[in-house]
Amino acid sequence: MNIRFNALFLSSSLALSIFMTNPAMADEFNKRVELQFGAPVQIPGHVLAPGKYVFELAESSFDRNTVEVFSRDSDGKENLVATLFAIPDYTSNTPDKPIIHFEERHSGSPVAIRSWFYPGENTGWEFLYPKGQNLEAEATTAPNSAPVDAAAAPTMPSAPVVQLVQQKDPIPEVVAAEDEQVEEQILVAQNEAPAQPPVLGTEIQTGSTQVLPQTAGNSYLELMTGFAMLGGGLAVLFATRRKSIA
Amino acid sequence: MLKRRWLTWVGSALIFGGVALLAWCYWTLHERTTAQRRAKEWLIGTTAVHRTASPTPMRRGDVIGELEIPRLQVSVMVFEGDDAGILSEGAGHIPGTALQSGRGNIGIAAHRDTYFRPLRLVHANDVIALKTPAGIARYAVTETEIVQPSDVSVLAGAPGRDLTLVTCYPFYYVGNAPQRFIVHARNLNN
Repeated sequence: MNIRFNALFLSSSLALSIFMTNPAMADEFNKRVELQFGAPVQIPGHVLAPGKYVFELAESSFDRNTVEVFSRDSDGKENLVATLFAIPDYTSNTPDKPIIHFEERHSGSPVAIRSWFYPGENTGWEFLYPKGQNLEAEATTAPNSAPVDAAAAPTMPSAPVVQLVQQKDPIPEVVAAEDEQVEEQILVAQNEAPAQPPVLGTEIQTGSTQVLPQTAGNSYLELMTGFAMLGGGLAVLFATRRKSIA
Repeated sequence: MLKRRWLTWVGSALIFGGVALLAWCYWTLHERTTAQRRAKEWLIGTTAVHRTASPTPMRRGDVIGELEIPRLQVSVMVFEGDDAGILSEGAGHIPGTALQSGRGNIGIAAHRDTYFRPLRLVHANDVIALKTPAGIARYAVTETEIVQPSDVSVLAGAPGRDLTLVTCYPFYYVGNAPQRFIVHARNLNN
């Protein structure tokens, strides 16, 4: 009886352990850079208020050109501001710290981040702006779009104060008092015009499809039932065993 | 004594049943993972070779590509077909919808309790990437809607509808869900 019980317990534990293993993921993969802006800056579709931000690549096994921008509040909590589509950019000088390239916009508009580079890598990520906006920027700012070292940004006349948060020797112009307002000041630009609904009479390309696919599965139900049966069985056997000992 | 033996039998039966059910879950998970891995290896191996090749007619089970929604950490291989067998191994390209980026509305379906469960958290402007042997196409989510299973008009081509994801709705529901959750996205490469 005891041997059979132990065998059952062992096999149950093994079955449980299979479902409890979880693979670990690396951190370096994301090219995470923490920055602090002292003035508003533009990224595609958004204006970032002064404050702390995190730029990193989205965790994707094949798409290395999707950049996620997070704002950081005073508690260190990160909120996703934007997920951006970027294209690879190249610089001949390998930077030893994060590099941000800015572009000027017409008067009154904050400067725009054109691209950013991760330390130690020649390849960076260039943001794509709507066509009109881009051409306008090129017409006025092509000569000024020189690389700006993230830490040296205050020397640029039009670039906002930008600081690499990870650095040990912070720049004096750090706007610490504004930290609390970061979240409130984030101006979320309006989305582009919503997609037009399908025009009546538009040819439906699904000639053979009369109904949308059946996509309901019972994986979780099966899993939960399995665990419930296992737990119930063990409980019954424990109770029986305790009773017999008593 | 008889009661105790009976309880022992019930307990043992429950344990064996539970282990069998968990083993079945593990087996289906293993099959799905293997199918995904093989499809991914194939895609990696053929991306360069087929980049300029002309499109060939797809057969059921052929690998279409890999779909990713980075923010939601969705990553799934897409196969041709939308029947139960295909959807048990990954996402399925809905036959009859466009196959290539820029040629109309691409329809992709997957189970709401596996790969497309995170779709309940999707929102406008989320980036969706579709990697095929022809290259990587990127899409931005424009809208979501809940429709009846018979409403195939969601797969129609229209401006701003270059990719449509389909899964069952409600996301938490025992049995066959009565509705479908639809995500529309527009092509960012245009």
